[in-house]
Amino acid sequence: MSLLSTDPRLADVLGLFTDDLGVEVTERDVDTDLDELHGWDSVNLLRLIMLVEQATGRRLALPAFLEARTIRRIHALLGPDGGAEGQR
Amino acid sequence: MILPGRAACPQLGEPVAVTATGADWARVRADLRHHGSALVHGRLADWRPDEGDERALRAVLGRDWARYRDIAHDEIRKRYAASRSLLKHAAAAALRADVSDVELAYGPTGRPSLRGCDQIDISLSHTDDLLLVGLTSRGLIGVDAELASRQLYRKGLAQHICTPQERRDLERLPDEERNPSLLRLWTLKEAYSKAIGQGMQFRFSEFGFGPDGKPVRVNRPDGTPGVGAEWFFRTYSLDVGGVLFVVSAAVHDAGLGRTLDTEITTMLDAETVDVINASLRDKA
Repeated sequence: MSLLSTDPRLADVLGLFTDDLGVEVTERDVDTDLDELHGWDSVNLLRLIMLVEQATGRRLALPAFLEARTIRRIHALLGPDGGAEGQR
Repeated sequence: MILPGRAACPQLGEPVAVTATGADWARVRADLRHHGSALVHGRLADWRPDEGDERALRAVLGRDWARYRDIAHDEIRKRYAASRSLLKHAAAAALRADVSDVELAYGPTGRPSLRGCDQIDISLSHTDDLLLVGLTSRGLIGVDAELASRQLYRKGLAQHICTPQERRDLERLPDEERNPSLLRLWTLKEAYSKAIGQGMQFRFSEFGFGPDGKPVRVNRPDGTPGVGAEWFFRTYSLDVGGVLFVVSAAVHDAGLGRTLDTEITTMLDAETVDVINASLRDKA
């Protein structure tokens, strides 16, 4: 599994999609709505939440995470000031 | 484990297969009259649009045309059009309306509804080659489908999908039954979340369902009953061209009974008619 630091790069988040979820994305896809990514579905969304929580040790604030409909916005949430509820 | 679909439920009949051309919608209308709900499924390969006939496609997609046109990925765009086409044809059949007169609206979580036609609630799910639509005149409906071969248990998703009670129930099962049971729980939770318009806004580990083979109810994390008897659930095993899918549906009965006349041109609310009649009698 890709390890996300407490302040991941956009490339790390892309790697999470490609390497861990098996959803083929490139930098051109960072502003695409998740529903418009080939291979994306709700099981992938749940796996993404699980992987991010495991890698960061933080419990995500789901409403903010679910509203982040693109890879770029998810990346913004994963930074130190992003949408987490705190340490687990 | 009882096979999915064996636990009959008077609020939900068997899913009806429909094709893009020459579909017989009579059974869908009969299910709506009899059960108050209907499940319709089609194949992506069959409902995929003819993108060369832009005029016909625009007529079917209506206000969804702009979103369709903006989708860059070819397969996703075709899937979007195919799923909306089946959804609109099913709704048009229920309403006895022309498909070009049916417009979809979307809530904050993307939940679709029929613009201006609240006598029918709708839900949509699609995965692989399966397109699935739920229709109800009882209140709310949510549907979800997954490939029966999809592995959720081995990927460690049980702890994120299940309540503590559900995890205990799963662990009591033989190995080979755990993934099918987890798929059943996943599709039930997805269907329920879609019906209430929440998506994953509240975590799937915070509400649960009992084991298969008993009347299905929403439970609290400790397994005690959550919501009441106004909710109905059913899970099916669906064979589509030799590929098996697990399909679940959730129906909320608002307590108004079945709306026997769902046609767009004649449907009148019975209470409204009574009020108008009483008012006319008073004036006479």
